[in-house]
Amino acid sequence: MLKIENLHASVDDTPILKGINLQISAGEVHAIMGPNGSGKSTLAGVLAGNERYTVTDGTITFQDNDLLDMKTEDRARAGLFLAFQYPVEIPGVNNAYLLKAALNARRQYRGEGQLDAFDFLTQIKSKMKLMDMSEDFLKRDVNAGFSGGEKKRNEILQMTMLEPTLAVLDETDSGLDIDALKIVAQGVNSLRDEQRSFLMITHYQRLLDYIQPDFVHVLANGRIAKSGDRALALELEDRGYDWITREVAV
Amino acid sequence: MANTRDNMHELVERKYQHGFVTDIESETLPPGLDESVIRRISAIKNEPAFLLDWRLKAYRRWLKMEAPDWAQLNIEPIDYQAISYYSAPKADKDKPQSLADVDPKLLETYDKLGIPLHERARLAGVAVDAVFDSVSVATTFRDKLAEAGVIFCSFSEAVKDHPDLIEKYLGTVVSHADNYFAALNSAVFTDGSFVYIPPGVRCPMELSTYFRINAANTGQFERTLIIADKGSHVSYLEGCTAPMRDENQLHAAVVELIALDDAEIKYSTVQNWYPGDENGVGGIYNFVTKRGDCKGINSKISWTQVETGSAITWKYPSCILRGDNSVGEFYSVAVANNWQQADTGTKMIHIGKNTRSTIISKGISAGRAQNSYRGLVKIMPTASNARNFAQCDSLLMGDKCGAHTFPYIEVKNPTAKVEHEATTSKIGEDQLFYCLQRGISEEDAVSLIVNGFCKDVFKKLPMEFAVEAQALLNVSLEGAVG
Amino acid sequence: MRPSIEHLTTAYESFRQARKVPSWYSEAQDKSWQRFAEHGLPWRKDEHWKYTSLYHLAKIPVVPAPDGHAETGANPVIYTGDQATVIALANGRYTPSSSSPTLPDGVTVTAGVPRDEKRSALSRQVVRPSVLQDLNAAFAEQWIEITIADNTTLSQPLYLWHHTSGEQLLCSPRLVINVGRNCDVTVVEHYGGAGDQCVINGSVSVAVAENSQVHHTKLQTDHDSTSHLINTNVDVSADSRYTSLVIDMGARLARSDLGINLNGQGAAARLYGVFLPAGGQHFDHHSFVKHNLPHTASEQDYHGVVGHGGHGVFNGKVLVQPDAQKIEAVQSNDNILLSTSAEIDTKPELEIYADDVKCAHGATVGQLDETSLFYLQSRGLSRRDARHLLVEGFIRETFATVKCDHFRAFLDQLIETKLNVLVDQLPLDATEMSSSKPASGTGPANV
Repeated sequence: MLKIENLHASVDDTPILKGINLQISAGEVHAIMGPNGSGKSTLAGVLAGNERYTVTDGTITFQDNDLLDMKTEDRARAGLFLAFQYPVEIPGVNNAYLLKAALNARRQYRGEGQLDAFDFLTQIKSKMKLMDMSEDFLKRDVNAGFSGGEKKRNEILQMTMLEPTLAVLDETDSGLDIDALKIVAQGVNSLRDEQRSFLMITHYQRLLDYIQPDFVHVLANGRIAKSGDRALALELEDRGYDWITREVAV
Repeated sequence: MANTRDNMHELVERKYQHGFVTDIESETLPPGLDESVIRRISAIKNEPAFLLDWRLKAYRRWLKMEAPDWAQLNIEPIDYQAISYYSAPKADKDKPQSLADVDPKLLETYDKLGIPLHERARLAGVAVDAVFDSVSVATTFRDKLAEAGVIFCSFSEAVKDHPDLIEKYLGTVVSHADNYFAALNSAVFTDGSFVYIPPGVRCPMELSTYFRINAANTGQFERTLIIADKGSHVSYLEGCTAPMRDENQLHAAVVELIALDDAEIKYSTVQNWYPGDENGVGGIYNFVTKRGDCKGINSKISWTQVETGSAITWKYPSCILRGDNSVGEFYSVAVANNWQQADTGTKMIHIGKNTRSTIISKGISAGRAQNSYRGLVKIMPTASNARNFAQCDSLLMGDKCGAHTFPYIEVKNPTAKVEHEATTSKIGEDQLFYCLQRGISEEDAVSLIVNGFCKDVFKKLPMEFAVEAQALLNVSLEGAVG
Repeated sequence: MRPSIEHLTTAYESFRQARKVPSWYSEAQDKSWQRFAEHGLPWRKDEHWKYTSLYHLAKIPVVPAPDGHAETGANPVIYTGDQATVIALANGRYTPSSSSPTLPDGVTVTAGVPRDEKRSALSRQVVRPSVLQDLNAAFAEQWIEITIADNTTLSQPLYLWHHTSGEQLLCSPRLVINVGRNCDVTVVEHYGGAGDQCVINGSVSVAVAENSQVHHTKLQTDHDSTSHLINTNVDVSADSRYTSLVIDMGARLARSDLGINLNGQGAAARLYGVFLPAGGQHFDHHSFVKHNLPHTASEQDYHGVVGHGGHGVFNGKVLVQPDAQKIEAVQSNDNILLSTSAEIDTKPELEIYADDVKCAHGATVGQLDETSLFYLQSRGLSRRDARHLLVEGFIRETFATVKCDHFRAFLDQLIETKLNVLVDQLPLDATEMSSSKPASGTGPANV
């Protein structure tokens, strides 16, 4: 589904990613861990097409297409979803409106008709229940005045509505208390099936207690320094990142 | 957003949609302005002597005045002798008695503009006065309004049928010598709308005037007078369009509102005069004096405006908060694209005790446009416990435009509380990226964000027009992001 | 009608007969006078004089401050010995005898008619030209130039003591401060003295070269019959930061024009102001920051407390030039009116011709918060002291930028005295401020 080869990217001429190789198949859940500044969020930004990052080398193939050749909105419509580390506030635009616009843009891209307003409401209400969100949320402006936890839950709600084929979760667990984390995990787990893949970027092992990954990778100094299964995450929890950083440096 | 600029060119091509000309025989006075022209206008309209005297008094004052130059506007000198001051569709000598007598071409014009005047397609719940060049051609739902005691007619008819009300209130809010353009209007105004709501009456429907400039080389000088008697309530809306012409055309209107005790007037404007082309050629010069007098205690006047058209806008709808506990509001969205220039805002003059005012202004600049907010909040020594809150936000789209904020705050009473806030920024790149990542196209994302930016104002518009205003905003700004 | 310039014209006539300057300079002065005389004194129809009148000034039969007789008075009390380098000016002229005997390394002071080659400097670009600067140029006989060499760090402030004495004198100080690269200096200008009905019409130019830090305070404690008109023009180069603090306490009329050119990338300006007019005083602050290049920043924060019979004016402007992208500018002006005869006019402006900017401004006008006053009274403070405390808190944050402890202590003392005057003028009755409570029916029912 996703194949990243020798990816190099920089911000303002400072190289951040220095040769990432990663392959994700349908139905797999991958976790990328790593210390601050290792390039985790850069990877998420490059995948989504944020122009802040310049790709200097390498390729990314997504469902047999050259991802780097696609516009941000087309990547989204093709099924790539990014849950933002810092979800953006858009004053004056309510959540329902944004979601409807996003859903219909995607349906149009796939040659499907516009979503019926009634179907939309039925669908979103059941998802909101799953995410433990009250109904007045629909009328509130996108992320405006939301608490940190609400913003993250909103990201996952959007994800469950848009039903992506590949979801990239950028530190969705950061700053969440345990209850909120459980709700977020519940949202993610409800979407897991053999067609859909996840790339979870996280700093903490804790998230992986609730969303069990198939693979764990450690990003250090712009490269994947180590890959393994869940045991690797537990080891990181015990030993921290320093030993890996040192290994990479050698 | 690399490909934006490519799309932009294509989108800017989308033209002004109301730019057609109605081919109709008109009776037009030759260009030029002197006392004889004013006498002629007054004679055509069969006016009583007091009105002619008033016009002449205004004209003589105007001759001694100078055009204001304090606004942040670059205006080519206007040749007032090159303008025709009266143009009306040729009809029978007398005004049409019913819609059946109105020229079908005119009805068609208003149909095209989305303002059907004939019975079967009228806008439900909205009474319309249609002003075409210098005259009112039709007013709908008059009988129904008369039942409630509401007078809604053209200004000319009001002069004939209610001269006492005209004489009593005309010029009491905006005097014949208030400013250069108001004086000119007072001298040569040709028509407009008149509204009187009797005591205790809640006007049963929205009232609306639709202004259309059609003839070439004419100016439009209308005058609107709305009186809300004690305890009454009215919501009024005006809309404006004009054909596309290479010459600039002058529109200098005056609106006077009077709210007596416990009365409320809500006045909304959707201004879409022809803005000129993408090279800044043509377009309407819109110099308008709008002022409301909250004369009575507990009275309220609320201005809402969506200004997307005109080459130049010079306009400051204001409230004089004379009555104790009176309330003034100003909600504005002003969009300037291409070479448009707008200098608009409000004045809130607090005189009575416990008076309150709110100002929400949203300015959007794109292309090479210059957009200024200019506002005055004045708290007189008598206005104990006065409150004012003002929020002025500007959004910039493109690096060749300008956004300016000039608030004047004058406080002479220590119990007043005045707060002014303003921000200027460009459309947020992080907001755009967020929307794109959700699969929304760039144009839609811009429209979504801009509409969100203006929402506080749009929600003040009557329902039917809020939708129109949003659509208008999208058309005005399509392709403007850079 | 514009205020009459009759007295000024007479003054100029006598001045030109007596002056002893090179001919090129006297010609330049005549030209400046001509420009001034053609325009006349500013008045309310000049947009920037909308709220400040000079009519009283036109009535004073001023004469140009004579050379050589003026005294500098006592130095300000705290600045004796080793706490600062004093540069004394008497009625606008440099007075070495009252100044510190030695200057720190890197600092030079010259005074006199500028040398011919500096002619061009007479017409240099100012942020907002004013006819009062023409008037200054017409009368100024001495340019006082303070030059700070590259790489100079001063441990003590340069204390410019502007002393005014005499009666009905027109003082025209002209000050040029050039700060070199990589400097860190504090300059205090203190205007004070006992001059009766004097008019100080000054012009101050500051140029800051690259990568320097300049703290510039203008403290004004002039005699209450003085008219204080100072135009300060500052050019800030790349990576330099200029901080200004302007404090108005004395004078009958004080008008400060502060214009800042941000001329290099990374240049920044922070402007703070405190004005405390009362008892017929009129204080007017006009600031104007021009962002001429990308990546420049400015911050403005002015606090006004207007007492009985005082009139405060603030006009702040931020201009972002075309193509000056990546600008951050904030501006705020908060005011408290203490009395029914207090008046404030404020006009914070933004004029922006570039799009990649983050600019904001705010202005507020209000009175002391009744709840806070009550809270303090409930803790045992008198109403008077409660007011004093709240006003002090309101203006104190502005002083945070003053780096020198001595000077801050001195300021505190001055402010304390002024605040006592301000607060003691007010009636103690708790209800006098809100003579009209909300109309019955809108407030809580009377019990």
